[in-house]
Amino acid sequence: MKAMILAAGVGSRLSPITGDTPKPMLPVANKPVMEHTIEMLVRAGITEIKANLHHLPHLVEQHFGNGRRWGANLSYSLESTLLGTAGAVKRVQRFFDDTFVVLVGDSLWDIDVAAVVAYHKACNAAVTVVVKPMPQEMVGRFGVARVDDDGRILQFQEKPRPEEACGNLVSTGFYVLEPSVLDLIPQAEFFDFARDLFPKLLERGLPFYAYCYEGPWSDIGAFSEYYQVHQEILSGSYSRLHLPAREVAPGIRLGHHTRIHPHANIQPPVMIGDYCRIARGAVVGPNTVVGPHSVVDEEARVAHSVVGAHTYIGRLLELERCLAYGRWVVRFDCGTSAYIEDDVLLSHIRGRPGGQIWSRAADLGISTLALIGGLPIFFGLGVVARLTRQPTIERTWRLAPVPGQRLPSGAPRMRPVQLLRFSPHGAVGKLAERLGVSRLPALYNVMRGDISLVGIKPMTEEEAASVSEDWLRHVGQAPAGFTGLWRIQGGDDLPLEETLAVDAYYAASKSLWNDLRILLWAATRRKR
Amino acid sequence: MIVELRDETGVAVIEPLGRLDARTAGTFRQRLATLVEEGKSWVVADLSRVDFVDSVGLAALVSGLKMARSSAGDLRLAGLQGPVRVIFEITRLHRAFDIYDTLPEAVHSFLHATEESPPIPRRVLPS
Repeated sequence: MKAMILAAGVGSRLSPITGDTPKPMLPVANKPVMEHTIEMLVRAGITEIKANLHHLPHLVEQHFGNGRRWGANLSYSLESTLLGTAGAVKRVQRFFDDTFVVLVGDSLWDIDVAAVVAYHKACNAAVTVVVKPMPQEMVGRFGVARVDDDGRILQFQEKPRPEEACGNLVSTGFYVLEPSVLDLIPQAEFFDFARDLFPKLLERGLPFYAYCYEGPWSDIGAFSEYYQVHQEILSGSYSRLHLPAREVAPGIRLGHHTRIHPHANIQPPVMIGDYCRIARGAVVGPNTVVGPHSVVDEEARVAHSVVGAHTYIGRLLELERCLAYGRWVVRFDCGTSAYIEDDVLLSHIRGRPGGQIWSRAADLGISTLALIGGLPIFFGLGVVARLTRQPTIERTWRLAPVPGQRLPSGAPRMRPVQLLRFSPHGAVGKLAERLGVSRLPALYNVMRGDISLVGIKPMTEEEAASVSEDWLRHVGQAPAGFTGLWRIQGGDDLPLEETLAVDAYYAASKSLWNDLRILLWAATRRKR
Repeated sequence: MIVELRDETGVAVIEPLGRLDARTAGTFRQRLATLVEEGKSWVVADLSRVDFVDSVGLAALVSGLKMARSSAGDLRLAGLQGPVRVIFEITRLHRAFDIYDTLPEAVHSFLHATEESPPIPRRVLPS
């Protein structure tokens, strides 16, 4: 049996969090929400899964890949323009040859999928919708169904006014369909299940049934719902979910390699991810989830909150009913968000600290060795400078991205660095140019940590001003470097657009191994 | 940029605009100091047009509070916008300041103090 996950939503109500995170990747209990969905399907024996993507699709594909890690066979349908819930399924019609399941990728159910399918088959339905009873005042945000005693749907309304609603059973976005139904959906058009397809089913009198589900259900469309689903998970309402933490004490779930100071105060129910550190005097919980690789520093208090991964919560900070995600703090009740620029309050811990230390150590080591190795040249040039009394070293201002820091728009924060080089105005500089070592003094900048050994091209102010924010966002993920892919491809002779393209490629494929290869190429001065 | 207003009823109002951060906090702090030196130690900072505060801005506000209180006055805040309010709450400073929703309420708090809540708070921040 096959399934389709609708993962193309933009999640505008969860802005600014969804600005650089697609909705299916939003963490729920420290796992992307779509991971819970996939695991639920695989547990029911459904392993052939198709997912449609639209917003930031590469992040979803990067994480899930072919789904093998979860025992699934996952494939994707990339929509450049949104086709709606039914239109998306129509697009991959050929994938489905038998009864199949469609569900939204940003919701959680604690449901027995096999039971729903069995019900669908028993009713001989063309379409079955999983519905849940909700209080009358809340039905206006969903699709509402009115059913007869056999569960057959007699009327379906999309987001009605509460007083006009025909019932209190709302659609949870979980459907079982027969492939023949897809013929009712027009090709390549925006078509929605609730608004467009269901009326057609009712018109034609096709068997359209509702499966009544009364367990916990969350559709994380708004911040208040995001908070509520975490509360429900922590209280144990979702019995079938696989949580990435071990219950070490009643209500206290911890990931592995997490260090908690003996004088920290952990109040259940709480869930703390892997590789976290909770410092002395910190209070975590109740009703709190802390993402992996995060730090809660001394005397900070995090209660009724959700903290994302790789987040540093500063000393004495107090988070109550908030979401701390990256550098954003969002109040759950009103949805107000604040961007925190001060690292001492809140910051994003980029990557594993170990990796950055090694990279800096390598930069420092290699640049120091190169400077020492180049001492004879410097000595010789120094003598020439003394004799000719001309300018030797000059400083030029360039802009470099600050690693890990972003402006609210998503573009990297740039800071000015003064790069050293041999002045082309002096005899020394001209000699250095001839020898090809005019930029050697910039190794001093590498030693100081202004730039990296390998990176993107440090930009001038004019260049940085002329680059669009979107480009900067791609390019600025990597630090500026003494050398880099850009240098191998043509260095200063390369036009700006090509430099940006090369740098964006470099930033996206950055790895230690690639950096070493680039260093070797640059050192042996081979041009590609 | 900072706009300063003087309220006739004896309460000084200072109204910064835009961001209260490393670049603007210095001027803000100086203006506050001037006000207190001139004897106007009842000050309301109207933050309704401030959309961002960072730790330097917060420090300027705290130093203004200490200056005002040590001159038998007070610095009260009015009109905190959403993001600024969040920053005050996570740094716990919403407990250090008397914060009012609107400027008139803040001014009113100085002028119409009852016996239960005198205009000059008895507590003084530790230096």
